[in-house]
Amino acid sequence: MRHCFIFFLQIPCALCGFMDLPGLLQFRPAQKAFCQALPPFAVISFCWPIPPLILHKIKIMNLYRPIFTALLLLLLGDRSCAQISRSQTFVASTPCSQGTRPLPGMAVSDSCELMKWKLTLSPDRFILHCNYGIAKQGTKGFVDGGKTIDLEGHWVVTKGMATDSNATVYRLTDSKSNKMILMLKLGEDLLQVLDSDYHLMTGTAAWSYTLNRTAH
Amino acid sequence: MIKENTMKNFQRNFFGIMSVSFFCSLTVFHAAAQTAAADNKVAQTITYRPIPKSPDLLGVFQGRPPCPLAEQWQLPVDKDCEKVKTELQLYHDPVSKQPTTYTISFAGAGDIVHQYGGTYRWKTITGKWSVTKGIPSNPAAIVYRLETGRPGAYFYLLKGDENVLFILDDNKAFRNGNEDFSYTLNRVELVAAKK
Repeated sequence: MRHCFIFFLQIPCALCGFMDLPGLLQFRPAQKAFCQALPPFAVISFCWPIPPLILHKIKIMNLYRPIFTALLLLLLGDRSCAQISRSQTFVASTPCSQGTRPLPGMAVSDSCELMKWKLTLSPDRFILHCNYGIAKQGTKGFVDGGKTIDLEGHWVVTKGMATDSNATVYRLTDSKSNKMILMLKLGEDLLQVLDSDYHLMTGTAAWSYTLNRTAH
Repeated sequence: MIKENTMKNFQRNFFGIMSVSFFCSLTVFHAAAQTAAADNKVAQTITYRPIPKSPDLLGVFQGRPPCPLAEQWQLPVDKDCEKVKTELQLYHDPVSKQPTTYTISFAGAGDIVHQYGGTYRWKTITGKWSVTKGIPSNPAAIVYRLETGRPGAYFYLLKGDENVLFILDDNKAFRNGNEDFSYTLNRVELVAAKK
């Protein structure tokens, strides 16, 4: 009974390990988000006892475990590759969603209707500098200068969003909060901010959630 | 013997509970931080003009693309132009859902209008539109093709989803904006201004 309980708990973990094998399993965005939220060591630790559970009647447990772990490491490592060879910088002026905010560390109580983004992607790291606040009428600035937020961390390329399973999505993970920011790669020069369900963020009449690549 | 089995069961259960707790805490801690889907809403925008309420209306989209947009419509702009306030109204047959006509308005490009002692540029264009497929980087992409009124000249918009349209160039490639303005139109809900 206990074996069955743990076994069924571990099925999703095992499936997550196979997420990026093309054509093997089809994942919905919510399922992908679930899988992508699992740090690799959690997946490995939970999948660890599966082979013995399946093959407990066969006395090759000690031989099978390292092979299975190596396979999982290989699969998980495969989806952790950034796909740019040199630094790229993207800039934008976007609205500021009410309720939940577009970035971690932004308090719901902060006054915010406009955000100015500067995102620098290097092959394995990102740096994001953001100014936000209330737009000052007739200018491109903020009332009282606004506030700033600086994030940095690592990023990976993943596949699939709500409306397109082949879409290229950049997943940025803030190193301080360990929380994710999702962006759709529209082309070489454009990124679009996504919501938590992998849908495009809808902008306003004045600003969009589109980041534009810049030479600076 | 019974005591030993009880001890073993306790150890197993303890390991299981600790593992599940560890797993859950990791999942929650590593959650997405960006805007929740429930807060990703169509914005309201105030208008002083009559609000179209025809069942033919598919949607109203607005944005502020940079001024090179005006070149695609061969419209004049001022030298200090930074952006063109753009509103697109798309109409379709409410029964067949087939595209019919569009109206696109530009503030900041087009004809000079004199009003209240000042001047501004404004242009409204109407025409037919259709849905096509494919851009160079994505053969499956859904593209709205607007007839500009000039023979063989079209204005292309990539359908991001029901609420977001991306303006394409004449070769159906994405257009790169700047730190202030993007080539994106967003669905809006028009709200009448209080008089």
